Amino acid sequence: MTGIYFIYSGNMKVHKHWGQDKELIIRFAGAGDIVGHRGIGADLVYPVSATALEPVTVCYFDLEFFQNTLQVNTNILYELMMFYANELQESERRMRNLAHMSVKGVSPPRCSTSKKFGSENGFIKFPLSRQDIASYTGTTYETAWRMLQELAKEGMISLEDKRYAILQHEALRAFILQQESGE
Amino acid sequence: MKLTRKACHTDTCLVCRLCQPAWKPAIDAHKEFRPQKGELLFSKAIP
Repeated sequence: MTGIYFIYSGNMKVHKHWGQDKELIIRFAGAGDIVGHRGIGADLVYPVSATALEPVTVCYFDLEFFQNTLQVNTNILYELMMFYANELQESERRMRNLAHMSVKGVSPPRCSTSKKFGSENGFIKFPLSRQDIASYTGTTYETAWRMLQELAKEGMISLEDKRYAILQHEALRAFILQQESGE
Repeated sequence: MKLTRKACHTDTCLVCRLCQPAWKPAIDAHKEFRPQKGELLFSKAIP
């Protein structure tokens, strides 16, 4: 990486490709988030891509400036350290979930509950393709779609075109916790 | 850009009066990008 990006507005996906058509979405990033930060370290090669999911405005600073900032500003350094710690926790949780949880429990609900996306009349603010949900949950398009349909049939979520809304927050949260605890 | 902690009074202030002249060129050098839907911001970035 040669620099770091701060998102002013819009949503992006940070994803990794391998082969012709295999993709894993590592995370979604929205207004106020940073992307490119994982490229800081001994190995400056950051083998992932970032793509806009809607019109996005980002501010870019080169790495030298960012590193100089960290050297003199302890507040930013502390905040970044906490941010990395949270990211690591989330990454570990996600790795465990991808390996052990059922597809249904992994992420379609998470995608919708994520505060990142914001909501509009209960629906996430922008259309999220089923393929993106599949790539985020580490499953196929067909499986992701079937799980979303099941959740909709159970009345937990609502599907409208490519928009999703949570209808039963508590029930869904309980379901996710149950899945995470392996009960 | 040469920066030292000794040059900064507050240590935690990014643009205090002493630092500002040193930081300003770098701050002004930031770039703004406006990728559209589906556009790549970066791809397998290699320095």
